[in-house]
Amino acid sequence: MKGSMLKNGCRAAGVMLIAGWMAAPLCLSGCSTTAGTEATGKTTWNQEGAPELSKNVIFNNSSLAGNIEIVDMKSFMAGNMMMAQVSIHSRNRDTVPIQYKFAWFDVQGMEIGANAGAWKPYLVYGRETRTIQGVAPDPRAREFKLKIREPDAADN
Amino acid sequence: MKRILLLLLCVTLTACSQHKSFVFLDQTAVDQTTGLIWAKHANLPGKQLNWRGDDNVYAFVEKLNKENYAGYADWRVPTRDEMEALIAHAKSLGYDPAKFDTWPYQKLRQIGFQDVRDYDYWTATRKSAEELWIADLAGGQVVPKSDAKPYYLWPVRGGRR
Repeated sequence: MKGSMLKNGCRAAGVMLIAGWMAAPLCLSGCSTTAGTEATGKTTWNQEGAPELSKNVIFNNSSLAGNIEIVDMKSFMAGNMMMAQVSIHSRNRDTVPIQYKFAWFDVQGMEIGANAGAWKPYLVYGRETRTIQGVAPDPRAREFKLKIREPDAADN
Repeated sequence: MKRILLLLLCVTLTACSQHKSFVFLDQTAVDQTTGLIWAKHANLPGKQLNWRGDDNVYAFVEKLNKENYAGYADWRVPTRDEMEALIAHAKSLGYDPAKFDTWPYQKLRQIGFQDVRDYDYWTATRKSAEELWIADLAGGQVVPKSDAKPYYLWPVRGGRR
């Protein structure tokens, strides 16, 4: 009786181990996001009807998060095109090489020209604050996302 | 005799307080009772505007002020009280719900305002996070309505906010 319980227990543990091993890559791929930093700015309208920029920053890379800090985000309309400006600050005393690209979204949150932009190389010198600017490719843009990653990350 | 004079004075004062007098200029109408200056054209955008979103009420008023419309740069959305007073004035000119030509928008047209619409107008007075007081110039009610729908805009300036 004891032996059969032990046998069943081992079998169940084995099945769980195999299931866990098979599910791990799925979970990892499902949970992973862009390895780097994403700074999002979205146009919203306050109670007086005045446009405002709601801001959000997500760090998915701890080493980049340790080196780079998003210190300011602005957007404004140049004619009928949305312009975005993001100021980044290096916490590192050495030069930090990064790559960045902008993604643009319309008022419904649909991406405009998905994956159209190329990653651009950029150097942030030690303790320096630099400004990255981008102009929307389309007048429908009301939201932007600045993606920042380390240069050795795989191309998206 | 004194009593008769006093009575006459009272009647005159009552009549004056009920009937605002507007002075109509090229692009504006001055309410001599309150000092408010209304746009003479009651539908300057030519369409209903949204409160939030592109080309909204805020953007239109900002544009008017940038362009110095009629020589002023402080146009704004009227308050609930200002709209109610305007409607009360229109009704004081003879209102009969059964007769279309006595409805507020018609009366306001008759005294000299242009393109007053028989529909809802924005006020700047908020009732809740989702509602503003909206003035219906057809029926003459000012009631809270959703700020997610488009209404007409009648800009005003001056007076006391």
